[in-house]
Amino acid sequence: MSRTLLAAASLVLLQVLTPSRPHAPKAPPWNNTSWLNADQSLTLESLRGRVVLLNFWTFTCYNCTNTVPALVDFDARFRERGLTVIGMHDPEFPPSGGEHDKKNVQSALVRHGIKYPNAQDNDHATWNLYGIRAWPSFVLIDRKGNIRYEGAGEFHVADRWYQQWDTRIQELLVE
Amino acid sequence: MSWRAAFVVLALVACGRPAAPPGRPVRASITRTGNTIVVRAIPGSGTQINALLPPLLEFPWGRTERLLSSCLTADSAYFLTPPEVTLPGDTPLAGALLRASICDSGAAVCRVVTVPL
Repeated sequence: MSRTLLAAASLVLLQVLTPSRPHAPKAPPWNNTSWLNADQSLTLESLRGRVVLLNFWTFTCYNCTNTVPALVDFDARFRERGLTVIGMHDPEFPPSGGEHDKKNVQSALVRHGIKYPNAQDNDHATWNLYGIRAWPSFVLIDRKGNIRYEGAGEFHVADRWYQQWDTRIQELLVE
Repeated sequence: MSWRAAFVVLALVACGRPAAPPGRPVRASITRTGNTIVVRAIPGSGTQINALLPPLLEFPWGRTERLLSSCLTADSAYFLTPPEVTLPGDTPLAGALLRASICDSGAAVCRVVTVPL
């Protein structure tokens, strides 16, 4: 009896501690129409077969821009192996703050050396679609279009959170 | 102590910081003096106010006023003292909203908070 209980408890604990979702939800398709660093609008469907890292950010968020070097690094190291990093630019304030202006976003991309595609999400449609609550947030989607990992918070090249995301990306790239 | 840490300590001493209200990410402080009203954004415990996107005071008739402070962290990213705006004493505050970008240093995330005055 106690052995059965122990086995059941172990199973529950394993479920809680397993980071990858056993039944990963389908990533909802976004419909952003204003893109930077992209020849045309990118859709979830057009990225099927690639691993996608969505980064919800805004250039006025210091935590977000502090994380950009790590994302630039991921893009440089894994793009050829099948990773697409996408910046979802979500303003914090109403338009008077300047975050909605495409020219300002473009300047920020140049300033921070961002070469990966970015979409303007001025109406927060994609933000709401993914249930995002804070800047910066991250959603990692596998090659089949399933959400496999989500998280929020600044990280830097080589810190433990960077290592965590690095491991997750590489795990999905070899699937 | 590095020069950067020394700068932060010096700035904190020079600028000061009021006691943070428990449980709230930010609150509005209103002080009426003579012919003016001073509105300040007071950060809650464990939070910082984003200086790259200074707080806004939004009035129901469409006017907005930006809250500022000259005391910033060494990287200019956060306010060290509560940002404030001085308004004419007869400004109606009913229906006004304080909108602030608040960053949680522990979790390294930011969020937007609106507080009715």
